[in-house]
Amino acid sequence: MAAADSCDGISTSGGGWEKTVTLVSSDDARFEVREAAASLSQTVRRMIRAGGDGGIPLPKVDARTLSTVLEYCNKHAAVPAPAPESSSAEAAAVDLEWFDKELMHVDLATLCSLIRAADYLEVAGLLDLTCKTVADMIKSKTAEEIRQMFGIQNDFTPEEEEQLSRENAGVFE
Amino acid sequence: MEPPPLRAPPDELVEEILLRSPPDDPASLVRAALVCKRWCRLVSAHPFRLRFRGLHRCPAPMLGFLCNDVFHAGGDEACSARFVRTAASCPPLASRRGWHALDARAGRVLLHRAAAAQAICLAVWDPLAAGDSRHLDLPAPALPRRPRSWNAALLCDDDPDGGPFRIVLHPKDHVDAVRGALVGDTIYFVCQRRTRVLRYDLATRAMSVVHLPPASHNQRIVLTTAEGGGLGFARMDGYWLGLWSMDVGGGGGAVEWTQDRVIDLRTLLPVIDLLGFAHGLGIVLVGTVDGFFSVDQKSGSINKVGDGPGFYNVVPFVSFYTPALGTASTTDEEGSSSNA
Repeated sequence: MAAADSCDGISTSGGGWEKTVTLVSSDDARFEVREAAASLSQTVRRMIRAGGDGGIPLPKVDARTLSTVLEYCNKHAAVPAPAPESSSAEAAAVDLEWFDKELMHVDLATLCSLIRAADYLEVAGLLDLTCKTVADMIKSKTAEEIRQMFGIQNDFTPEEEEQLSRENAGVFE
Repeated sequence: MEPPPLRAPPDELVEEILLRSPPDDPASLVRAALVCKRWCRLVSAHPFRLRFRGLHRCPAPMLGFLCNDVFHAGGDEACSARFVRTAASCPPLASRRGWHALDARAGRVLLHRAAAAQAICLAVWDPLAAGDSRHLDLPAPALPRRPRSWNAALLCDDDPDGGPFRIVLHPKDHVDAVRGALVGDTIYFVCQRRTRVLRYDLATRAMSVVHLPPASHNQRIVLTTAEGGGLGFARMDGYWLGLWSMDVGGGGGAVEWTQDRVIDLRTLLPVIDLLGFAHGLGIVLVGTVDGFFSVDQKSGSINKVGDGPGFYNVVPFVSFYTPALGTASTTDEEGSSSNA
């Protein structure tokens, strides 16, 4: 099969014509996306090259998560590359930063799904953004608060905890 | 749509998250390491340490500085290398009583035992290392006689595994005890009275003398890396912080000094002392009655970094920090000591 089989096309608002691909989530929702945006995912990019019928299946990502990932990809792929020192480049960077910030206004469970998806789809920018967001959320929390956030059991024995706090005290007297 | 149920990320993604912990907030990684055994192993593991440094490509943050306090204990003059934290959450490190901090690089500190009357007694201290590898006494340098004055610098790469280090000891009369500077491949030590700087080229091992401009004579100065990358110095002139740089002229090795920048510190009144300079970060430290402030060499921006008294000649402590918890029980007791 030729690579073009999974690609369709849509006309853009500017009257141009852009190649699109169809992505299929684990719960069978279909998303038609510009190829330039979908290609921010290295995983999808490889699958486009490999070709195939009836859209690209992404069995590890549900529709809800995929739509957020694609929101990110659409926005980031849309950014043209103006001269790096022009004022429009600066404005675009500010706009993108604001967009990223808004996109990260979600609960921890959604963030964790996004991290898994960004990892599986290999969208480097989104993986960095989501991980940084979670790192910022936990940076001022105590170990116990972090356990509660993620539902993690404390598996240190009291002796081990004591040893760790002793070592800790040695470093940070 | 309903939010998905929370599924804790697998280890490799926990690693991705924790790698993005802020390097200037080391305590956050310690707390993460105390969450559970898996997280503790992950953060303490060697690949994590390497990746943490690799990801935060910017220069390592300043976690604090070492202040050499002199106090009187029972009639004897004693001293102590006291750690003053400047990073938001850097936990305080223990002071080293009886020691004087000469230099620090890549998370290691060169100490000198102040009370040693005869031999020059040096040690390398790694305050963030676990267990016994924290302090390493060095053999006394073999010198024909103990010099009246001397200074020393510590050279090492930023290596999370410790790795080798070198000490450059400069036994020479009239050399000042104020911290030297490593600029490019050259070490500089100030002479007493601040009229000259001794230059030691590490590549050619050649020694030479650089004359300082009259503006520095008999003043408290700290050596800096100038914005252009060469040697510079900072000095207070009233309420003004002057930043000077050295120009090596074309012929005959003649040296010219230029005052590149003057930063108004009147908002900080009263400035008590010029404290030191963090190479690589371009930050001058000043002490005031209201605590310590950093002054950015490039932008001139001023930030409060700590409280308390501080005196001339501090040694900034610049390092990445990743905890190595729980490793004391698992590592080989034989241990590997650093090469001197």
